[in-house]
Order: sequence, then structure tokens, then C-alpha cells
Amino acid sequence: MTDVFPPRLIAFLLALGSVGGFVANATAAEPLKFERVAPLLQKHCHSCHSGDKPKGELRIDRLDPDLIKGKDGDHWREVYDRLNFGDMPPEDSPPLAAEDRELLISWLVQERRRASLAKNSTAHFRRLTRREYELTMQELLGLPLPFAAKLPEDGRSADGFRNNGEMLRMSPRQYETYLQIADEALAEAIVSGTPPEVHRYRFETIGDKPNELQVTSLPKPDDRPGESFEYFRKDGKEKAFRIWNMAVREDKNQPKDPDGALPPSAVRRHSEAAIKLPPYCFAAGFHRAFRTGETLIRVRVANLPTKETGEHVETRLPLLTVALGCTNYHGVELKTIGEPIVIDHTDFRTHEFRVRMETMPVPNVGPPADKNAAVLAAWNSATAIKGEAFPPRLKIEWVEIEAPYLDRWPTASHTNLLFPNDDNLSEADYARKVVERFAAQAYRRPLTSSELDRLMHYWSESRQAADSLEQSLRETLGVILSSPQFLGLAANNSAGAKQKLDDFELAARLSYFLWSTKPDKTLLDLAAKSQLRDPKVLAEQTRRLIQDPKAWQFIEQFTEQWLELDRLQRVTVNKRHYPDFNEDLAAAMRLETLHYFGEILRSDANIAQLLNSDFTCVNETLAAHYGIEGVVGPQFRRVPLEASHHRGGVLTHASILTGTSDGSDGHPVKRGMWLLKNLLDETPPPPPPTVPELDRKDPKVRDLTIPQAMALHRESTACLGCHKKIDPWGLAFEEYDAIGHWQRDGVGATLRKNRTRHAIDSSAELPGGVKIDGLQALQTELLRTRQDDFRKALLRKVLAYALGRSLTLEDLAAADELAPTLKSRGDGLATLVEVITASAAFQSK
Amino acid sequence: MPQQSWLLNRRTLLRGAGIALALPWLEAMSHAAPTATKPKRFCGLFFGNGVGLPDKKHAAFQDWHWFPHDEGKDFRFTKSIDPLEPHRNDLTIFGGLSHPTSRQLVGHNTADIWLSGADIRENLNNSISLDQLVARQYGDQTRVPSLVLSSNGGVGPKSRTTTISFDAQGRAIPAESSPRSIFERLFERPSDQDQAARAKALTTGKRRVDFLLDDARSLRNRLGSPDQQRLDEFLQSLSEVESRLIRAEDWLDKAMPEVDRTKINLDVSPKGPTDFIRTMFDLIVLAFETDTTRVATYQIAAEDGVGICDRFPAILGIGKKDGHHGVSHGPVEHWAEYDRYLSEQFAYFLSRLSKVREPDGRILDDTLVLYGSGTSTTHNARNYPLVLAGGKNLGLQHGRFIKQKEERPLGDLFVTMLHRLDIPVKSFADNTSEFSELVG
Repeated sequence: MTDVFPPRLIAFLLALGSVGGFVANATAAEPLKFERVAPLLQKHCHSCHSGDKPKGELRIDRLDPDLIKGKDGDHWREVYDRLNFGDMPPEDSPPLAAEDRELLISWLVQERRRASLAKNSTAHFRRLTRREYELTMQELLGLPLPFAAKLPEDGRSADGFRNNGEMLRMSPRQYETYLQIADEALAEAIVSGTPPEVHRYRFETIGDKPNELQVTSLPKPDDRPGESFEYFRKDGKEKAFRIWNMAVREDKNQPKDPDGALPPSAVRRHSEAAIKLPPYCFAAGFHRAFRTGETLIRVRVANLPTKETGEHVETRLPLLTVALGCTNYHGVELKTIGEPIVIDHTDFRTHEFRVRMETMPVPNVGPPADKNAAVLAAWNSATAIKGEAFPPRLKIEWVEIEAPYLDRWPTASHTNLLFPNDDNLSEADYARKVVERFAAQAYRRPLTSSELDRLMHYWSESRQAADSLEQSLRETLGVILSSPQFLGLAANNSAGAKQKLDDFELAARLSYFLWSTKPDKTLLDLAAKSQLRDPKVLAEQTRRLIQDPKAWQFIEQFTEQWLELDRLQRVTVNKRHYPDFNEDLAAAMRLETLHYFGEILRSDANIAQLLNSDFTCVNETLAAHYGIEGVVGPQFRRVPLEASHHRGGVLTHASILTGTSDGSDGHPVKRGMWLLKNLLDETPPPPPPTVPELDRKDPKVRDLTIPQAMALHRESTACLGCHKKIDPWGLAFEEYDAIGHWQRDGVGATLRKNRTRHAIDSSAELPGGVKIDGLQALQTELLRTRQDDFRKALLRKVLAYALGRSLTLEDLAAADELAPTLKSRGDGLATLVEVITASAAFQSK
Repeated sequence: MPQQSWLLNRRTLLRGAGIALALPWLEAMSHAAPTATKPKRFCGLFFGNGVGLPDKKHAAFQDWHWFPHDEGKDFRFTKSIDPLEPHRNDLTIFGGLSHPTSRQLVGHNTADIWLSGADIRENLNNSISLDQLVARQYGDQTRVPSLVLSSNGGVGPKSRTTTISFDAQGRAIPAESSPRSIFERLFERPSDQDQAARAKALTTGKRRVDFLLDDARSLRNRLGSPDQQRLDEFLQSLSEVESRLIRAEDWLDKAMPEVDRTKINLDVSPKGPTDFIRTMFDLIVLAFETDTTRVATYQIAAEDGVGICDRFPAILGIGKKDGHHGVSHGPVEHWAEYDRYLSEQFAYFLSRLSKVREPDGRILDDTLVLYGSGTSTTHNARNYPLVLAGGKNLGLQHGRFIKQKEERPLGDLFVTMLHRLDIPVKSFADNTSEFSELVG
């Protein structure tokens, strides 16, 4: 991001300044005191609910107004429900004025929330999340394997985060799984014996017959271990395993390209749980599957000049996509390796693809058959445009495959753990060094000598029973990988009172917060020198971690969980109304919000830009959806926005708009709830029991516009109190449809015409009486009056994620206390993270 | 005096149909269930390609429509399934059940998801099957956690699997198909070498858990009390892992049940389908009787034209020589004849399970047996033909044909079955409710 604000943003900031800028709406933050509601209770409740024979055996005059320490929580709940339902006070008593009812309810909501926070655990010890476990294992062992595949998904806490210690449970089955994963992982990481046989083949088309593949076994390269495996058996009769030819396929309806070049094409959906290979592709099937290890694929390819003119016509560029997978009864399953490569050279060059087979779809085990084989495919994945005169074409000369690919033996992961014994240490001394080094990495701190002695005792027992040093070390490192000290994030605190984290604990907390993995060498070195706690050093390190690519973990997980991006997967979009909606688009929607948050974080831009801004991050797919021109290719990039795009800030992201729709239309209640809960941290209480959801099929509701239907909903007293606070926010979103199109003009308007005849009504009266119309007005209003609330909400969310727990009352106060500092330091998002890591709350245990 | 279970009667000679087994060492056996809860079992029996369902106007409708005529207690068996008549009060027939996400699919991939209900519209990622969920609960109380059998064996290609069992990661579990090796694995002592390797692995496992328990305890001393509570879950889990290892080790020293192999016909092959299928059933009964396992699945016939079982009808002289898949696309008479044949085999299995007594009933009364297919007729993945038999002691009320007005998730039935087996799942296989009408 540039340092200079673009003109639209400057205008916007000036506008803010003119109405009082960032000055808070003071009433929003002030808690309601019991003294304000007590007279109301006395006036309207005590006449029946006091004395010796109170109605309903409920004495409201005796209820303890302290919901945190008192024991009357359940009774207050009863009072709250009755008020909400509107059945108290009864009809024959003096009526309770609407604003008084609201005041009582607000106080109860506030106190019940505080009471629930007070119950939150103050524990810090927590198990690693599934993601953290996998990333830490990958780093420790130097293997990019899906170690967590066998573990169940972690639950989400009420505030949405998966790293919440309360949700990270342990069970016997889960522990058994950790033991099993550790064994399998170390069997892979520490090798023994001679290198395995390696399969090395080249496939090429034969002469002018693009439909036939010739297979050649390649000799063993000098610089690599592993004997080559012969494709043809020595007797020449039988092949060691069959490769069947899928070669360059033509679409039966399309003319064959005499050059054997590949025009743009894409995989096609089969009707049933499978896809078909692209009509034009280079593919081979194997009756022997490589299931584990790394595979290297090399593709010799060129951008083929267009035939008609004999020279390259600069239109678009072809994209090379390589995928592995397997056949099934109907077609194939394929997974693309890495990102497609833009082929901009007209001479033949070689591109390499490497992948671990553990991450790819493989056929079922069992006897090989055409319908149960491994598949390798390469094709031109540039978007096909009907009737294009000069489509981008690519030609593949050959494809080579090498599996498993071993760049050396023993493997890098092996020598990383079992480093060469250059000092000729005795076996026991060598083992001690290996174990000490590994355990310090795994436990994220140095070992005490007694800990190391215990591990070495374990090793020597293993060594007696095992037939090799390698095996005894596999067993010993396996114990380390199953220890609660590895599987959990612990902070020593036998004293019981609140203390500061020690240096290594601080390094771990920082690293799991921003990287979801163990601290790197720099952090551990600083911890060892007791420098990490130096505020200046800590701030520097926070910045370094944010700028590191590994911070994607924080960006992805925090943003996804905070903004509930998973709603996108739960919505079933009505394909009849939105025929162009597909999985690619949904994936792009999700990524926009992640990249956008990342962009703001890395550039330390003002958090207000999350609410409104003049740029966003899109790729070709999403740009087409938004009607933004000139964006080509699958990568996300920052693009400036113009007023005509009607975009800016997460409120306008298709991910959010789709996730808060019902699949056919936007859903104002969901949208209002989403905004209050996530952006302002004002989660409305759940609806009282027995209140039905608004049924869109109900004949009373069917012909109403959504705002009308909602007005109807609000008529019920039980709903009114809350919905008055929720609905207006959501109504302002009405200009956007169920998949985030702007529907006042363009594509969105056309789609809307097919769905409904009702005019768009995006006007609303916000709580407090401000009237707005449309999302732009809502954004302006948020920035004008709710900026302080948003700042606090974001601080609370980030602190909850950083601590891995639901905030306690004390944590909440600590988060709120950081707000003035953040504001005075310019409200940058990276600054916010820095303010968090510098806080006492973050650094204590 | 009625025959009793071996759990009580030491060295009693049990007689099943043609099988006798002497049961030694009461103490060794009782160890199978340390808390002495009565075994509860599940068995899933599957055939592919659906059943013959002639149209109302068709001449064969009255006699050869697989689903019974009339509903509730007064239902009438058709010839397709009337071999089950003797078991009428031990079974319920269901109409209108299916897995919601598969209803639109072409209906030949049902073996993959019959017991899992996974959504395979977008890709073929499966999820855990019902039997494995049960095995997860009871697997460590018996020598063998579960039996996975099929006529064809192995797993077959995705979407036409030759197994109906899938593990927690949704991977197909290879099915055993050789009666001889199944028998040997279940009832004959493993080689000394195997035995030694297993013993060594368990010793290593126990040593590791011991170390980890120590480790966790010393960590516990260094934590504040709210943290200790969280760590306690680690400690409890490790203790349970340890006791599981001890239980597994106990099995090593324990004698196998003495089963007389001359009394079971292991010289069978799929070329003689009737003997083959019945031997597979005998093996399941034997495994249940000896409490060697409490969970079994058997894919009698695969979907589509996959594998050796496709030839069963041809070998039996049913239809032309065009196999099971061919029969399912041919005239309904041949198809119905095969339906009846399969019903006869299922009836044989139920008879076997009803003849073996336990202290308060028959083995069948503590066993849930689900029999059926994943399509009604071929290519119609709704209204699965399904029979649930057994489980009187588990509170099931039988003797009815329960038909749904609207297609209903099979998961409803699965969840109720799991609950009857004391497995407290909240939801499974896209269920929307429970099948309470089956209970009480």
C-alpha cells in the first residue's frame, strides 16, 4: 500500500472530521446502573412479587442485583423472559411504558452478559489446535505432510474461535490418534537402509499421432539416489505396471488441432460425484499408484504461435495446469498441483512441479483396473472464450514423472533430525544430542537436566530392545511428540497468583498467535538472552512476524473465524436465481476478505478501512462478479474502487453478503445480527424459546417485501425489543442480493427482475433515531458514531484469539483499556496487534 | 433346559446348525466384558441393484412386488420375501427411507454410502459407516473390533466399492472374502512370530504411556489450578489408553475359543453361491456366539456389474447369462426370483441367530441386523428396500411394515439404532429426527 491516501479516501476522512471525527458516542459505552432500574422494578413488580405470599413464588424485591456473585441468575432469567414475552406485568396492572421495558431489558442483557463472562475460565493451558499441531509437526520434521488428517476438527467457542482452550478437549481416542500419528511421522522422517526404487518415465506423443503416447524409462540421474525401475520387464513380455494412454483428447464436437496443440479447456462436471478430464489434455493413467512420498513432474511446453498468421498474435496467454488424481467408475478425481503457470515463451522450456502424494487423491487399494487407476493430466486452463479467433494455445512436447523423488539419501528430513555424527561421538552421546535438540524444539524451551535424563533413560531402554539406533531414536522422539508439553501450550505457574510469562512462554504465545506454529530460531534466541520482554524488541518482533508470510495463518484463521466466513459454505445458493454461482466464485469471495484483511494488516492501515475503503482485493473471477474490468488471472491483487462499483470495506464483500443471505435474497436479520455481533461486539440475546422463525412460505408473509415482513415480525412484543436494535442495520444492506450483486442496476437488477417485482427498500431508522438509506449511508453512520465501539470490538476479538480463551471480565476491561492508546497511535491494524502483544493481559499467566 | 450362553456354562457344548464348539476357561472369557454388560451387536447385510418392483398394473404386482402389501401389523408378504414369514415378529420392513443427498444420483454408487450417508455429489470423500461407529464403542471389548466381509473382497473402485465399511477418515476398509482365512484369523492361534511381534508392540506402547503419564503428572505440579483441570483431561485420557493396552495384552495370553473346524464348511467358493453365502453367515454367527466380535458387515452382492457376485444369478440359473446387473435391467420375473433367493439366505441367517440362546433370550434379541439395498429399483436411490431384524431386548417393537408418506432420511433410523446400542450420538447421516415409532 502507498503512504498517500487516494483522493476519495481523503474526502471521506475530511467528511468525518467535519462531523466531529473520531469522537465517541459516549452513551454507547456507559454501563447501566442498577439504581436506574430499581425504581421501575419497585413500581411494576413488587406489588405482587414481594411479601410472604409472592405471586409465582418469586420475590423480586429480594433478588440479588449482583448477577455475578449472587445466586439469583435463574430468577433474573425468568424476569427477563417474561418482560421479553410481554406477559408481565399482567394486563390488569398499570402498563409498563415501552422505553421503561426496554431499559429493564437492556440492564438485564448487560448484567447477564457480564455474569457469563465472569464464568469464563482463567486457564491458559490449552491443547494445540488441529492446525497448530499440523504446522508445528511440519516444521519440526521438515515434512509438508497432512499430519492432522486423522484428527477431528476442533470445535468453535461461542465467540467463534477454534483456538479457545475450553473447546480444545482431549479424549482417549484423540490421544491414541496422536500416538499413531507420531509413529507414522517418524517412520517417514527417519529412514534406514538403502534408497527405494524410483520410477522415472517420460511420456511423449508419437509423430503426428497426438492420440498416442510413447513411454520411455529414464536412466538414473548422476546426482540423485535410488535405482530406476524398469517399465518393461527384462523378458520383454510383461510390463511391470501398465500405463494406459489418455493422451491428447479431443472433444468429439470440436475439430482436431493438426498441431496437436491444446486450446483452452477445463474439467467438466460429470453428472455424478466425478469430473471428466478436459476435452483437450495430455494425460496418462497408471495401474500402479504412488501413494506416498514426493513426486516430481516435469513438463516441456511452449506457447504455440497461432497457425493462421505464422506468428504469435498477442491476445491472451495460455496457462499450464498439472494435476494428479485417480479414476473412479464415472470419470476422474483430480487435484491441481500448485498454481497454474503462465506460458509466455514460444520456445520449449521445462517447468517442474513437485508434490507429496499424501496430499493428493489416490485410487482405492486393490487390484488395478481402468476404473481404479492413478491419473496424471496436464492442460491449458486459460478461460475458454466462445468464438475467439486466436485462442491462446500451448503445446506439450513431453511430460516426465519421477516417483518417489529423492534429492538425496538419507533424506533431508532425516539428516535434519539425525545430523551427521562428525565429532565421532559415542552412540549414547550422539543420541543425547539428537534428543536434546529435538525436545527443545518440540517443547519450545530448553530442557532441564532431569528432563533430559528421563528421556535418555527411555532411549537406553529402547536401544536395548530395538535392532537399530534409528529405531530407538524413532521411539524416543515419538514420546516427545506425544507429550502434553508438546501437544499443549503450558505456562508454569505453581505459585497460583498472576505472573508474567517467562521469555520462552512469551515467545510461544507470540508465535502461536501470529503464525500458529512454534517460535523460530530468532525468537528462541531472543528468549534465551532474556531480551524478548524488552518492549522495543517485542514490538520489533511483532512487526517481523506480521510481515512474514507465515502470518497468513493469523490472517486466514482470525478473519475467517471473526467474520464467520464459513457461513458462505453453509448457505445453499439458489441456482435458479443465480445460475452463475459456483464453487470457484465462492472460494474467490472468501479469499477477497482474507487478502483484504492481510493488506490492511501488512500496511498497518487504519482499522476504519475495514468498514469502508476505496480499494479491495480481487482476482479475475471475483472482478467479473463485481464488474471490475482489467483483472486477468487467478491471483488476488489490490485494485482501486470507483463509486460506480458500490464496493468498499467488508460490509460490501460478497463473502459477507452471501453468508448472510438465505440463498435467494439477502436476509436483513442475519445481516443486522452479523454486524452487531462481529463489528460492534453487541451480540443480541437469543430469541426467547417458542418464538417461531419468520416463515417465508406463510401466506401472510409470502407477498410482502422483506422489510414489510420484518415489520410484521417486530409487531410481536416478544420480538420487538431486540429486533428494533437488529433489523435497521440489516435493512440498509437491501441494495445487495443473495450473492452480493449490487441490485440497483446492471446484472443485479436484471436478476432481481426475474425474482421479484418489489422495489428495493433500503431505508431504515437506526437505534437513536438517525434515518439512513442504503449501505453507503450506514457505513458513514458507523464511522461517525460507532468508531469507538468498533475499535473496542476489534481489540476484544483479537485479544480473545491471542489468548486462546473467552475473555474474562478482567480480560475485557484490559482490552477496553487499550483503546485510547490505539486511537492515539493512529488506529493502524498492525499497531493494534502490537498494542495487544505489549499489553499486560497478553504477557501474563 | 434351554441352551445357555457360554458366558455362564463352562464347557457346555453349543450346537448351532451343524457347528459345535466347546468353550473353555470361563474366567478368560468373562474378561471380554469387564463390567459384565451384556453384549449388544450390529450386523449390516447389503446387496446392490435394488429389487423388483412391478407396476400396479403389472401381472406380477400381487406376487412379486418386493415391498409387502398393506401397512402396519397387517402387512402381507409377497413371494419376493415370504421366506421371512417365520421371522415376522422379529423384523420390521421399511418403505420410504433413503439418504437425502444421494437421491438425485444415478444410484449405482450406493454401496459406498449405504451405511455412512455421506454426501458424494461433489466428490467421493466418504465418512465413517454405522458399523465402524459401533465398533468404536465396543471394539476393544472383544478380540476382533469388527468383521468386514464381502463376496467379492477388497474395496473395489470408488463409487462401486466391494465393501460397505468405512473408517473414521472415510477410507474404504478392505473386506475379507475367503471363509478359510476368516476362520483362521478368528479362531486359530496366530503364529508365534505374529504373537511375539504383537507382544513387543504392546510392551513398547505401555512403556510409552507410562512415561507420558509421569510426564503429565510432573507438568501438573508446575501449573496453576485452572490449568491443572485442563491437563487432567490429558491424564485421564492417557490412563484410559493404558487400560486399553492392558486389555489388548490380556487377549494375547487368552486362549482362542475352541471351535471345531470340521463342523463348518470352509470348502466353499463363490462358484457355489448358496454354500458360500451361508458359510459367510455361519462365520458371523460363530463370531457373535463366541463374542469374538460384536460388529459385522457383509456385502452379499455389489452394485452394478462389479465382481464375482454379479455372476451369482447366472450360476443359479436365474435369468439369462447376463449377471445380477443384467437381471436388474431385465424382465421383473427373473429379478424377483433373485429377490426371493436372497430372502431365503437372509432367513437362514435369522434362523441361525434365533437358535443360539443367551441367558435371557436369543442372540438375535441383542443384535440389530439391517438387511437391504441402496436403491429401490436400479437407478432409483429412494425408497430403499430395508429390513431391520432382531433387538427385542434393546426395546424394538417388530412385526410391521412402516411406510413413509414422504421420503425420509435413513439417518433417522440409524440414529435410533445407535441409541438402542447405547451409543449417544446427537446426529448421523443427515438425520432430521429419530425413529421413535420403532421403540416402545
